[in-house]
Amino acid sequence: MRVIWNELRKILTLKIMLLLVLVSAIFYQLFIVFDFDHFPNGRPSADTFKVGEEMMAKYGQYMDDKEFEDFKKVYEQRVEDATAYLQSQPEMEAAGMGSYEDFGNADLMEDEKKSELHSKVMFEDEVDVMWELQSREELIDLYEHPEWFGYSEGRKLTSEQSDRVEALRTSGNAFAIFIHDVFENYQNLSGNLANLVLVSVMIVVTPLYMADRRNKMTMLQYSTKVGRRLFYIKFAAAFIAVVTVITVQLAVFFYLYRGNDTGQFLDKKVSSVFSFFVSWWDLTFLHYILLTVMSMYIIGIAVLFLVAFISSSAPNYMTNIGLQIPLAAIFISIGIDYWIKDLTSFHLSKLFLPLSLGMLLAVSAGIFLLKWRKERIADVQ
Amino acid sequence: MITRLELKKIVSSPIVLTLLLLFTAFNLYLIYVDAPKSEDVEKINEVIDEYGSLMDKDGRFLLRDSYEIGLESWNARNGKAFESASEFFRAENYYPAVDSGEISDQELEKIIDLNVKESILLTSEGLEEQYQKLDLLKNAEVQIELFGIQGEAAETVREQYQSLIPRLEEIKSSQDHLHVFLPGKIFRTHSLVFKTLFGVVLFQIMLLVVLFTAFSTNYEFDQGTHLVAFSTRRGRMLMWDKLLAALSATGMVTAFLLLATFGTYFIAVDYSRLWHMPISTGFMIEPDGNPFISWWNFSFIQYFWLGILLIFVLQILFTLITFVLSLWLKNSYVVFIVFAILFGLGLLVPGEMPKNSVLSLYTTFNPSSLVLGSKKWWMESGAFTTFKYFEMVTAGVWMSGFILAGWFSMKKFHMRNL
Repeated sequence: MRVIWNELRKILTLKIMLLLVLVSAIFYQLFIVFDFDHFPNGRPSADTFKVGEEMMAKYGQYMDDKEFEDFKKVYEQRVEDATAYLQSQPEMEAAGMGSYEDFGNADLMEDEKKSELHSKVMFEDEVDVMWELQSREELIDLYEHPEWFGYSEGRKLTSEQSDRVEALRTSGNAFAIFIHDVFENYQNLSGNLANLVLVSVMIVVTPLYMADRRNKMTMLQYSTKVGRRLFYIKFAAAFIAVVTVITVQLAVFFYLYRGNDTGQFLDKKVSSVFSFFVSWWDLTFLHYILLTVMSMYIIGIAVLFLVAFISSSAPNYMTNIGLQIPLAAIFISIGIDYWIKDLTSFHLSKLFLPLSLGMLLAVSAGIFLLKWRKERIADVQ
Repeated sequence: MITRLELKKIVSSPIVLTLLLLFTAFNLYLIYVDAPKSEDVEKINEVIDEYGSLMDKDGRFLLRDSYEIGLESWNARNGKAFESASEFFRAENYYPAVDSGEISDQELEKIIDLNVKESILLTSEGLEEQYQKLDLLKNAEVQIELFGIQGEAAETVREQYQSLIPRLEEIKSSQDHLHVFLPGKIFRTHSLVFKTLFGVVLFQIMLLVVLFTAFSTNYEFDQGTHLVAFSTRRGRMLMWDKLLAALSATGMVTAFLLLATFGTYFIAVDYSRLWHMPISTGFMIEPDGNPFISWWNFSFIQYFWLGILLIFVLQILFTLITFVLSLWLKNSYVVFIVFAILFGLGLLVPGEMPKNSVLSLYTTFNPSSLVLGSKKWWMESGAFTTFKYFEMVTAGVWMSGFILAGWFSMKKFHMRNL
């Protein structure tokens, strides 16, 4: 135990922790803070979010046909509000936009006067009800066109995929009140967080076996019986360090994510006509978040295996970091999309997630274990 | 002699070669995916050969004639009454005609030719109008609003755009904007060459440069031979050899990757007619609709060589930065991370400055912004970087700064305890 503790202190030195904090801070500022500060981002996104909140409060988990009628009734009321507003504005009446219908149908390309008034209402005065109506219209459209659900341009659904869509539609699960802005926001955030986790693990693990070899300590260690066990003691320490670092990153992240106020959606199903997303399984938003967290730990540990292997094989830091560059490029450009952002999407095969993550873990662990077997009988040099 | 041995250590190391090959392969893949197909380029070249590249009123005259005659005879032969060539390519006309086989391949070729001519005619007409209406001061206001710039800083942005106006007038009067080029709305070649390819090459070489410069300069510390190597007066001069070796290696890998990437690109895409077209031509405008307005009257090839020159200068600057960091930190791993942090700070700091202070503009004068702005070097390039000498000032100031820093650090290194 004492050895592990000492090794751990060698991994998480003050210098490394300082660098880690600096790198994370810059990474946050460049890639993550935006999705915290600007959520929901502008209009009508913010209005959609508000309408979503209201829908949840009124209808609960799903919206059924009867509740949809009510939703439309509220829409009609808002239309009346809008018309009342427009009529209270003499210049609108004069320009022939005295009712919400005329306002919506106005030919903005041709009529400059109308276009000017239109943008005055929308962008200068930012009349809330107009924006809210836009959001409501979009949601009504989505509800009335369940055939859009799961459809994506240029892709034909397999029979299994269509069955999944069909099942969601007939059971009414497809009408879960889960707004796509909320989902997209989390996808962006979790993808960037995963990149940060990846970089952090690399920073922590890179020097793992390098330092001792550089100081020619292996000469002393490996010639003793206990010495070679240091190889996996070091790994155990690195494992603890990596899990700690990931946990801290996640804790900070979710502490900040609470500010987005999406907690109210946690118990809503993610596969919904309103979220543009179909999952193979009936996951709630909370399940989905937990899955991404699990995925991040798995990726982090797989990268730990790989980097530990590289660290024990590379002759110097140039080779060590150089080998990690293609590794990071592959993870960031492909891996994160499939393993974090599009988790359980029905556009990927049903078995893709468990199989690919399992294989990633198995292959990286395998490479490392082979190295360990070699290391046990390697010549001291 | 020592320099040559140090250089050998760098260029013969397998990881440098492996990464160079990987990078080259990746760049070739990008070209394979995004470069315009040669038959499309062929069509444009034919038009330039036959009708010249300048599409002002006179230039369009013959082209229009040939287009109208061509369309008429095509209509007559195929029993159609199309007003324009593009009408044929609408889904409801195109698919039935091609699927039923009533249009032969030869005829199809003809209508494609006509369509190219038509789009050139329409584009140049549209450009004349667009450039007449173009108001740079309005663009400045859009930028200022977009980034929420205020006060003194906003004033500076307006001044910069104001000083770009004579150049725009020059473009309009010399009709630089009416020269035929691979149409940007379709091929986006400007983005491909100057953003995607310049960008990846800059990043790839930067990674390599930092890696091998840090490796070379920290070699003695990593190997534990520093006590022997640096305990004499001549010994510490070794660092100069290492710097020289790193600089030569930088030149070599940069040249190699640029040659491999752009050699392939210009073999794959026939630019022979385009070398001397002005870089500010309106045909390059991409779907975002923003014209490219260069501060000086550059042809494509001049602009390209200047870009290559700046890539070399930037890589030498990165070598120097790494060298200075290495002298102080003495650990190649830490050097790598600190370099990454500094690069990130270059992107971050301008955004953290108060919006009404010119600092938010002047802190943009750093290598990181220069690297990320490669698409619009020497051009109108948004609120923060539209300064006539932005690239030169940035490269010049940082370069001289780090030459001084390198010299100073070496002086300190001579006296340092090991």
